[in-house]
Parts: sequence; C-alpha cells; structure tokens
Amino acid sequence: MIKAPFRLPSGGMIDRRKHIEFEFNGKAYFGHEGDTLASALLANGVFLTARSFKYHRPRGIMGAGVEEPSCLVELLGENAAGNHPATTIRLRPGLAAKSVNCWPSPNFDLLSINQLFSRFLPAGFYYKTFMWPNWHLFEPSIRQAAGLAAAPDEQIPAQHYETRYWHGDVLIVGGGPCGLLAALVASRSGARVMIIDENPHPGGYLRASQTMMNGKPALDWITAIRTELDANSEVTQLWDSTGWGYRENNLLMVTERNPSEAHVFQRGWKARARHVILATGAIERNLVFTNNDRPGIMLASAVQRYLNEFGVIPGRLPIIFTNNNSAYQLAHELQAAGTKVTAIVDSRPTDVIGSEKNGLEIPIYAAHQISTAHGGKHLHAVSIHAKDGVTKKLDCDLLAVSGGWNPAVHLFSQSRSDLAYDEGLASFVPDKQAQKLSCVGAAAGMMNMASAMDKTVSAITTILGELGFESPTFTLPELVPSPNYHLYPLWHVDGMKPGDKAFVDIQNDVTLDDIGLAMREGFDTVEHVKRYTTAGMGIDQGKVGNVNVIGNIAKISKKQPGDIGTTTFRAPFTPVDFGSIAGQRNGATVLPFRHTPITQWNKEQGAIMYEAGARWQRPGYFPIVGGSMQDAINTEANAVRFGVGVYDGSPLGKFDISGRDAAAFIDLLYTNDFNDLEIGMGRYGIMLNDDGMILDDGVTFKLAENHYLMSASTGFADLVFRHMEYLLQVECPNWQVWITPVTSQWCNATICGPKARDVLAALGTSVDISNKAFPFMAMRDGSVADMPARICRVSFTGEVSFEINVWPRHAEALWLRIMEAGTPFGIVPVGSETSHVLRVEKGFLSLGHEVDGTVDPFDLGMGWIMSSKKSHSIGRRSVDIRRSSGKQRRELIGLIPESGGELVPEGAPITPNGDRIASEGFVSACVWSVVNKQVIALGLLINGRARIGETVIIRDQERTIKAIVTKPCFHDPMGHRLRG
Amino acid sequence: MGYQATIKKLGFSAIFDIKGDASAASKRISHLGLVLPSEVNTATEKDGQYLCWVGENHWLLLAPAEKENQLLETLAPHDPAMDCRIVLLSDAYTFFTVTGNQADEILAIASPLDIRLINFPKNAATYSELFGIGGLIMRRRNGYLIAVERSYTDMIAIYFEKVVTGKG
Repeated sequence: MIKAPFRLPSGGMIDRRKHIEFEFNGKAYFGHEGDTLASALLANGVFLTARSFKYHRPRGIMGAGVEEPSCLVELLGENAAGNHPATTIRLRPGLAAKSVNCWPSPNFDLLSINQLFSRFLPAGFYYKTFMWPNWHLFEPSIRQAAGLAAAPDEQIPAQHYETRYWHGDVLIVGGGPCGLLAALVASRSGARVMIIDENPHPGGYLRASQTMMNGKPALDWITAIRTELDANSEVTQLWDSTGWGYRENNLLMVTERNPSEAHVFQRGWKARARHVILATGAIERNLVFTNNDRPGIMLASAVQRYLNEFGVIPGRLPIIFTNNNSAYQLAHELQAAGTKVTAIVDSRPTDVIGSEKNGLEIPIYAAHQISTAHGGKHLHAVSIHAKDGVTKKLDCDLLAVSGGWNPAVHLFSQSRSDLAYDEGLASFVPDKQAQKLSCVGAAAGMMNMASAMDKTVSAITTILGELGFESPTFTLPELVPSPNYHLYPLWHVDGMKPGDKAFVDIQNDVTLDDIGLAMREGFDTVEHVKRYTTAGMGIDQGKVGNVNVIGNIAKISKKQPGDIGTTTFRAPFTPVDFGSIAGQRNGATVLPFRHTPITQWNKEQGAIMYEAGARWQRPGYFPIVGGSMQDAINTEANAVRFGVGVYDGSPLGKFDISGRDAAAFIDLLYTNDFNDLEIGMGRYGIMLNDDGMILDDGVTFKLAENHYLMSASTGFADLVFRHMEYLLQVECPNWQVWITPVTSQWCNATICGPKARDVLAALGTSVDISNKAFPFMAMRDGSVADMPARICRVSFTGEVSFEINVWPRHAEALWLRIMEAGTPFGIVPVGSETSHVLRVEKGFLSLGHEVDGTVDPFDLGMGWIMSSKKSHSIGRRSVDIRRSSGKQRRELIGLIPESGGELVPEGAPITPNGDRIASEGFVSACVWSVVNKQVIALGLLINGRARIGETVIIRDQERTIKAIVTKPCFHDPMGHRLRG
Repeated sequence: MGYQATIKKLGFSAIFDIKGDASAASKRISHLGLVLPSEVNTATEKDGQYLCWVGENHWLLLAPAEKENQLLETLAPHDPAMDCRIVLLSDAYTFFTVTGNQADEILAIASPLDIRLINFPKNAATYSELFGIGGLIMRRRNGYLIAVERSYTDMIAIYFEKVVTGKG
C-alpha cells in the first residue's frame, strides 16, 4: 500500500483506485487521479513547498485554487511551464515539478540569508539604495535574484495551441451552484450557452463542502445538471478553463487547459455573448498577524476543500482563526471527519456568535485574536490574546484562517463596470454595469446560498426575456437552512509592533510595516501604495490580500475602505500560457508574410529573405560562394551600374484610380501639378499629410482621361489607401473617384543597368523601346516574351530601367525568360540591400530613412515639387505656415565619413563637436558605394545645405567619427544615365 | 488527430471588382443574368457566377476562369467613363474551400465571424478577418469558400495545414 500520511482512509472525490506517480523537487511521490499537485503534496505531508519572493522565508500551500499566493512551481520535462500555483495543476502520470525562488531547495535555500537583513530591505529599498553610481550597475543582479521560474525552452511536443471564436446568447463564468443553475435555466430556454469554470469539474463550493440538496449530497444535483447540459448541443461546457479577460462588447478571453481534442494542448477562446453572467463566487481573505505566512497556515476554505474534495486534512492539531461565521462550517466538517479541532479563535464578541456554534464540541475563544504564529519551517503553536491582553499559547500544526470573503469582481471590474464598498461584507461588490452583464451568487455579494440561488433564477429569467427566449419552469433544490453570513472586519490583529513580520500580501512579501512606510513617505493612495510596495502585483494579483491592503490604508489614514477604492483589476485573472493567446500564430506564421510568384525562385537561389514592408518577403541579397554579404552587395550593385540587373518589384503598392473627379483628386493628393500630364506618361509626386509632412512618394501614370495608375511605397501602401479613402469619404464625399488596390493584380520585374535595353530586346517585345519612342517616365502596353505586359520607364537605381508589369499568372515565366535572355549580358538578380546602395548613391529618398514623419519637401531640397500654380494640395498650407517662422530645420545632406571603410550605423546622431549633447542631425543611411569606392552616407542636419564642405562629428556610442558634408547625390547628378 | 475537414486550394477564377452607382452596376452586369444582392453581406448566383456584396456600392463578381476573356470584353473594365468602375482582379485572389463535418470548427479558428446560420445564412458572403488578414468568406454546401489576397496564399495554406492536422 502506498502511504500518504495525511490522506483520510475514505472520502473525497479522487479516484483511489488510480495511483499516479509524480516528482517534486527531485523526489517521487504518489497521488490519485483527481488530485491537484497541491492536494497530493499535502497528502504526502510535504508542507514546506516554496520560499518567499523577497525574504526567502519558508512557505507552504495556503489556498486550494487560483487564489494561492504562496506555492508557485515550475513544471519540468514535457509541457514545461513556469510559475503555476501548485493548487491549479492537475496531477498526471510523469508530472515533474520544482519549487521556484529557492536554491538548492526550499528546505535549504541559500538566499534565506535575506531574512537576517530583512530590516534593511523594506518596500522601496532598492529605489533608494541603488542610485549611486548607477542603477543599471545593480539591475542585472537584482533581477537575477528576484526572478521566478524560467520560461520553457522547448516547444510543446506533438500538440499545439489553438485559438478560436465563439458566439452565443448567454455566457456564464463560474460553475458553482448559481452558475450551474443559470446554465440549466438558459439551456432549457433554447439559448446558445457557454459555461466556464476554473476547476476540472463543476460544482464550486458544492464540491468543497458537505452541502446537501433535496436531502442528498449536492454532487447528485451537479451530476443531474451536467447530464442535461451534455445532451444539449447548444451548450458549450468549458471546465478546467479560465475566463481571464473581459473586453469590449461582451468579449471574454478564455483559456481552456485540457481540451478534449488530443492534438490541442491548450485552447484560447474569444467568446462573445449577448449577455454575460458572472457567477465567479468569492475568495476568502487572509488575516494579518505576526508570522502569518508560516507553512501550516492556510485559508479555512482551502482546508475545507482539501477535506471534502481530496480527502486530505493537512494537519493533526488544527486551530481555526476567524472574524466571521463562515469558518464554522469547516469546524463542523472536521469534527464530523473525526478530527479534534484544538480551538476556534474568533475575533468577534461572544454575543454575536450565533447558531453556527451549535453542535460543536470545540473550545471557542471569542473576542480573541492570534498575535503570533510560532515555528520556522512549519507551524507548531500560536499565541492568542484576549481584549484584556491575557495571552495563551496553543499547540497546533494547522491553522485555518478566515478574514472574510471578497466577491470575485475581477471580470466585472475589467468590463469597466463600477464597484461599491459594502460595509456588511467589508468588501467591494458589483455596482453599475457598463456592459450587458449580470453578477449572481457570491460574486454579487450574496453569501447565503439559498437566497443566492433564488435570486439567480429571477435574474436569468429576466435576462432570457430580454433576449427573446421564454423561461422554462424550474424548481429550486431544497437546502438545509444556514445562518446568514456575519463578520467583524479585522484588517490586522491588535498589538502589532514595528518590525513584526505580518504579511498583507503573501506573494510579494509586503508587510503591514511596508504599507505604513509607503504612506509615511507620501505614497498614500491605493495605486501609489501598490506601486511602492508591490502589494497586489504578481501572479496572484492580490486575490487573498488586496482588500486587507485597502482596509489597512483606510485604517492608517482614518478613512473608510470605500473612500480608498480599489486598484485596477487587470487581465489576466489568473496566469495563462502566452501560447493560448497566440494560438496557431507560431513558427512560420508567428508574423504574417506575403510572397510574390518569384519568392520560391529567390529562395531556391539561396537568397537571404527580408521583410521589406507590409509583410512582403523580398530577397535582401544573394550570397556568393566564399564571399561576404558586402561582397554579394557589391557584385549586384556593380552589375546594375556597369552591366545589368533585375529585381522583383511586385510588392510596390499600386492603385487603379478612376472616375469623373480622378484628375482633380490626384492634384489634391500631390504637391506638384498633374493636370498637364499626358496619357501614357508618368510623373513622380510627393504627397503630404495634413501637417505638411511627407506621407509618401511615387510615380503615377495617366492611363486615360480621369484614369490613373498610382504607385506607393511598399510599406506605406495601406496607409496611402487609408489616406485616400479618408479624403474621399470625409473631405470630398461628392467626388466621383474609385480606387481599386491592384498591388496583387500586377507583378513586375525591373531590368536595370546600361544593358537593360539589350536584355529587353533579347526578350522580344512589341514595344519600340528606343529612347526616342519610349522616353523616361513613359508607359507602354504591349507584349514582352509573348506575354501581355505594361512597361514603365521609371528608375529607382539611377540607371536605365524597364519595369515590366505582367499579371501574376505570367510572372514566373517572365522571370525565367529574363534570366535566360539576360545571361549573355551577365544579368544578376538584385536584392533590397543593393537597391538601398543604388538609391543612396543617387540621393533618392526612402521612407523610414530620410522620410521619418518630420520632414517636408523643402527639407529634402525638393522645394521644386511644391507647385505654386495650384491653389491647394493636402498639407501645403501647413508647410507654408511652418516655413513662415523662418526657423532653421534639418536638411538632407550627403556625408563622407572618415570611418576607415567601416559603415556608420544608420540613426547615429550628429552632435556639435561630438559632445554628448542634443543632436543637430543624424545619419539616415550609410553604404559602401561601388562607384565612389568609399563609404557614403545620407543624413539630416540642421541648416545642412548651407554647411556643405563643413566637417561634422557623428557619435557611435562611445566613439566619434568625422564626416564631410556634401550634396546628397554621389552619382550622375544630372540624371543622364537614367534618361539614356 | 486533427479535425475532420478538407482544405482545397482552388485554381484560377475570373474576378472583377465593381464599384459605383448601383443602378449603373446593375446595368453593366445585366447581360450575365445576375442581380445585385439585396442585402449586405450576401451573394447572388447564376450559372456558376457569383456577385458578392463586399461594401457600400462595392461588389465582387466571381466567375469560372474560362469566362474571363468574354467578361473582359462585355464588362468593358477599362472604361472608367460610366458611373461605375469594373477592374479585373483575377490574379489578386486565391480561393480555398473548407468542407467536411468540422468545417465550422475550422472557420471558428480562422475567423471571428459569427457563422451561425441565423447570422451567416446560405447566401452569405462577407469580408472578415481570416488568420489575421482580410478575406472573403462565403457559405457553400458542406462548408465554405474563402478568398484571400494572392500574396498571402502560402501563409494561409500553412495556417490551414496546422489547424486541420493539429501539427505545428
């Protein structure tokens, strides 16, 4: 027989026939199917399971579910993951886990030495201590010490993450009694329903307690409901799933941890319902006294759940410490299980302790508090004191604490709905809804189950009516009457002294002293206290401790907790795997990508592929055997300058623009004149945004009257399209202009270089390609290599170029023919690195380099493109206003850096005398020029054009580089070659 | 392992983008026997040709590939003088079909579209998000017809492969 010393011989909902071996901190244990890692550890008597975040104090398991603040583990082996509460991990064969935040083990942790210096490590100590000489000197070590588990290195084997959507009528979060009830009634009405619960099985508190319904165990009622829901195809049940985020328009983010499909590891749901019902229950809070974090101190609700769901009592000598009557149910159940409870310590006076004590044969210390817990690595006694100061020490190895209940309002608050403070509960409850949602049960502050279920039926009936469904008849189960919930708030016990380690936030090691310190230093709002102390941060997000923090702030500042308010409840409600958010967006599809018909050919030639804007993948360069990247770029650039090259220009943005007002529209968009453009000709233009900054540039051809083909930068095509649509829909709604994006309808192969015309001739074309018949900036329709084609004479390289546009169905064939016809001329494919070199040599602007959203055409020496003939173009007025100020601006210049042949990083600042002061410009592009045989650069420099010939200083981190300012064109400044 | 669904990449189709005045558009296509969809996000069908509503005064005409030349001539797509504009976009899209018992599951993974019959009926056709990009989705017997911009074809094919097989 496998021994588990703290497992009861019977009881619980585990399958005792099925033993599961698992490993924790390198040691093998056994549990049962249905166990969590936490319940199995407790059953085996493993109480010291963790070390605390900051002081490395010994810690054990405190909760039983998502509220767990203390015991985080790292899962090892297959399906490795970090920072999961042990209470939420289902036991499975082969599970291996280890404690986080300790080394080598929780039992002997080297950093536990921090406890000796804890008085020197109050909240915010590192803000004050590590300022000199430089915070960044200490930062790596501090981060190393403070980290939790590492992110796993390995991909999930054989399975994958998946995300999916769901739409329905009613979405219920929480599968406790009220959530199940709501699901049952809604499903019977014919509504499409989804119900979600954190736990692998529905029931919530019904599973964690010995509640009877209709005279039978509540499990029977749960089973009957589940059977009915299973039979309804309109009901989606997600157990072992977390509704962790509430977004706009009733969109819930849900992570399903164990989907039924074998190939799915976890699934992220984006579920949207017409109405959301939050039946999220309530979370018990801690009590604040000295050493309230010792292993063996647990939430009363957790002890109750371990008893009833897992058949485990994690101690032999339990004591209950409470400020309310809910913990008495645990006392009854422990007594029924044959466990002798040493005492109940109740901070409330005797006269308010009512029927909850009936039938208990346990000493009750009313109007008493626990002042301190004794023990190091495990609890062995507590000191209690009465109002009159009399103290007593009681032996114990398990202390079940209950500081009251907080409705789980996290999702409600995330929906932007308002909370209100309820004095009766000493907690925050839902108030005004901002979306179509309702709270029921304990989540709504209704702590009496019978009345909560009654009100749930009323609520769902009303909701279904509003959604157009008829409510079915339904009979509520009969419950044994229970006393109404009653508590006296106890934000911390009396008699605390400075230096006492009484934790308000267990996970982040935030003590009552820390709260006081923050407030004394002026951080006296709840948000400031949170940031100063880290209370409420971390993995548990203060589920157990936050309201205690608020209560103590109120107490110190002599206000009411309702006046303090809460911090922001942020998603996720509990930790979820990033994978369940990303879903199938991993590996090859981690980012969107676009291919042209030539992509495969490029890859087969060994091209190094880059993202070249708008998710297009283009060849960066074609490596050459035995050569460097720069060698490859030089080879390609030399081919274009002195022979012939070809590049795939398909990603260039293209728009078909037509309609009665198309010509006027083009004139409105561009700063220069297009109204005299002849059919069959194109013109380079610059368009500005409303602020008079350059938005994009490109060539627009006139195909017919009021019919144009506009090109836009690859990466800015979508922005340009949006800009144009905005103008048409908002500024010019009566204009008749139709814009059709045709980027993917046309591919182009651009043949460029002195031998480009020879290659085109060798290909065979129906178009007269002589310079006279087909001049620069002209466009001709015809055939190339027997394929229908549109040829444009534009150039981004500064050389003769023929842009051959064909439909994609012909693109690959055309490309292969070009390579074949070009071989005798030494044609080479050209990547985007080389295009960059060629355009820098020419001083052609590039968006994202010289055009960074802060420049206008005058800044780039292109004042000539600002037409003075037309009355208006977008952005013109802003340019005029700006330039009328006469302020000096950064202007485009060329640079010849004295860098010894080394490229200067793009973006490197130019500063006066190279000092570490505000820059006067920056390097926008830097390349090795094959025609100049030296490093050249472009840049923007204050008053740059007036400084040609001057030497400026470029800063590259710690070094400085001198550079001579030149005109921003290093090759064929008159443009004879491209017009040739 | 995976879902019971079949993804098929289709061959070439004739596609025309139609924008402009509804009556003018209606007149331009009248010889095809197609009528403009009377409701948003729906399509009309005639002899294997589909006319999909894809936006205000904006439709997409889908036809078998062999009809492309005939349509090019009869629709006069290069004539912008009329009150609507018809642009050939046959090369701009790639079509996939998603069919099988679990085609709905695949769509629920691929797209945020509410594909319940009540909201996405038999004649439904709409642009929506599809694996993070825009795509045209039409309901078909036993599944869906999907069109994505051609440049995304390889990416969408990988997505479908991952989702259907559960690998990757």
